[in-house]
Amino acid sequence: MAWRNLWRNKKRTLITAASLYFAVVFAIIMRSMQLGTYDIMIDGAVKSYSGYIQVQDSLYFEEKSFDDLMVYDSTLDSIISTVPNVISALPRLETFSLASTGKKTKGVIVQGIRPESDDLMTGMSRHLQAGEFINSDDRSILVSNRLASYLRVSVGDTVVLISQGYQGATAADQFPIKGIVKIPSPLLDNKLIVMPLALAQEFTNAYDLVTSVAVNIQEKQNMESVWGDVSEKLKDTHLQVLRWTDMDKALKQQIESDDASGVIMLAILYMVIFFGILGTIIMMTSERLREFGVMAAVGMHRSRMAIMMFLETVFIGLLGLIAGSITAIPIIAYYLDHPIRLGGDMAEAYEIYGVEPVMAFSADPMIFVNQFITVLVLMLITLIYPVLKLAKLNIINALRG
Amino acid sequence: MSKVIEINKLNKIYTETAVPVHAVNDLSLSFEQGEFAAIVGPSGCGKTTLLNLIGGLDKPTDGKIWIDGTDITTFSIGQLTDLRLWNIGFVFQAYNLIPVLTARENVEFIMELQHKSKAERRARAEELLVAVGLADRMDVRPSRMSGGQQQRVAVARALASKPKFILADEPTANLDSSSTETLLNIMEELNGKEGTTFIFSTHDSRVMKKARRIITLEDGKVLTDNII
Repeated sequence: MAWRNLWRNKKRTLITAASLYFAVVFAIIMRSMQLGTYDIMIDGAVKSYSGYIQVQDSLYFEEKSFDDLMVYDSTLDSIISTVPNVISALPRLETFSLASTGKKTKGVIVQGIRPESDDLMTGMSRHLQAGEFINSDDRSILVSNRLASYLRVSVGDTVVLISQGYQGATAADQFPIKGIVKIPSPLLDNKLIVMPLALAQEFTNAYDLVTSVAVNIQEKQNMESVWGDVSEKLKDTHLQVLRWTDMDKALKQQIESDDASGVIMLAILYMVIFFGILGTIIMMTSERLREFGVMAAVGMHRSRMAIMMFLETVFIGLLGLIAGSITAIPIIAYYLDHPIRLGGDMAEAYEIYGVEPVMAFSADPMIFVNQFITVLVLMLITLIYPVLKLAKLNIINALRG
Repeated sequence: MSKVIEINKLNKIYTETAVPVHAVNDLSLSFEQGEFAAIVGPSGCGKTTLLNLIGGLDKPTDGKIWIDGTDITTFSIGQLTDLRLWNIGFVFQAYNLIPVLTARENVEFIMELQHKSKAERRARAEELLVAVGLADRMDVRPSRMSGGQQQRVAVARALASKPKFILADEPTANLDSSSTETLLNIMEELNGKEGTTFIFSTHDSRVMKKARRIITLEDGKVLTDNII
């Protein structure tokens, strides 16, 4: 009966469902674009560089002093590697340095890594622009793409690095370039030099020492559980376990504020839609008060009438939701494979914030689930009116029409 | 014959109006199983109010109504709803069928509320619709029926739950002579066949002619009560 009631006034039902449909399509695509872009931002800054979780000496995190390094040995490696959902532990030695090539000099980040295992997480080798990827025994380096352009160097050229080594030692050496690699984060692409960990330790006189151990995890969704497990295992040490949100607060806040503005925009959209639906529900209720009176007179409980109204509103909601989802899915599927690459001023604006100028999409099922929940909640709120009307229904007055 | 309805010193005073209206005034009555009774009287004499009170659609200001020996004046809204579902059939002046349901579904509707099986509902609905002469209109919606046909469906619906009595408020007011005659014959036949008590409120002399008991009201009181 609820289904038939919907079609008493086809135009009204279709207009109401259509307003929901457009809201759902817009909301799903917008959220997909937002979350996809956040993924790109996080991948660019986190997955391809810091990792989702790092272990650092607690003093190093506070002071960022090259003297507060930590020992990385097989014990620490096995503690981290045996935590569920951890793929591997990636020791790193990172310092700042001056890079010079002839007339050009620039402040850079020098990162010592275990190339083979690190590449499994960062996928850096896939972004090679020229030359070859380094291996653990190499005595050569990778230079990020924009830095190479700035320094006007290419594969085979030599870069001189001058830095401070461990405990005040001077670190200075020259390194041949084995490859030019494009780093997804424009900020890092401007200043990153990567070399094998052993070579970085030799360069900085920090043998067996590292600045951090990045934890390569199975899925980013595992981050909190892995962080908890590793923290538990290292709680009695001087080491500190950090999530990317602890390490890169600026990025976290940038995402949070953008996310909040998106949510507010959707809330306004849904508010407008809500009043449209409420209008329909009020009309559906008012024009049937006499019928409700008859139903009550012949023995139908008001609770059953409320359930009928609930089903009618749910049907309208489902119409909009299902049609909206069916429309949005192929659009998202297309843009998942074909992210929108920005150009011009927009791209520059993105790069200023260190973000790859790409609008990507996300297929996170929660986007759809959230729309379903939102629409369902809106529908439930609109039901308050008919439920109150039914509760106060005066059968005699209703029968009089 | 057992008493189906017993009313004792019933009063209904409407206080919402500027001057309180005493619609039912210290009225006492009773109805027995199988009666075919008409309540008559001028407009405003309290016929509809009395039917509404007997049907549990309205609460009396004072007095008692017993249905099958149970006082319903103390019932809650939910209890009154169940009382109507299981004991009372209604026929309204304006038919009041559910527009989105067919004739058969309208009749089945009450039995569905009673959680009767689909087979039982279907059989009873078809039996009643055949009895009211609508065998060929079972799957038609009310909007495609004449007033007389709709009122016959309403009678079938009222009888569907096998109620103890049927309250019919001016059931022929909107019908032409032919439809009125047909409807009254059907109700008379069903009254005989099913043994259901029928209580009408009416102005219609044709209904009065068919009635076996005529109660005349005036100013909310019983003026005459004649068994014919």
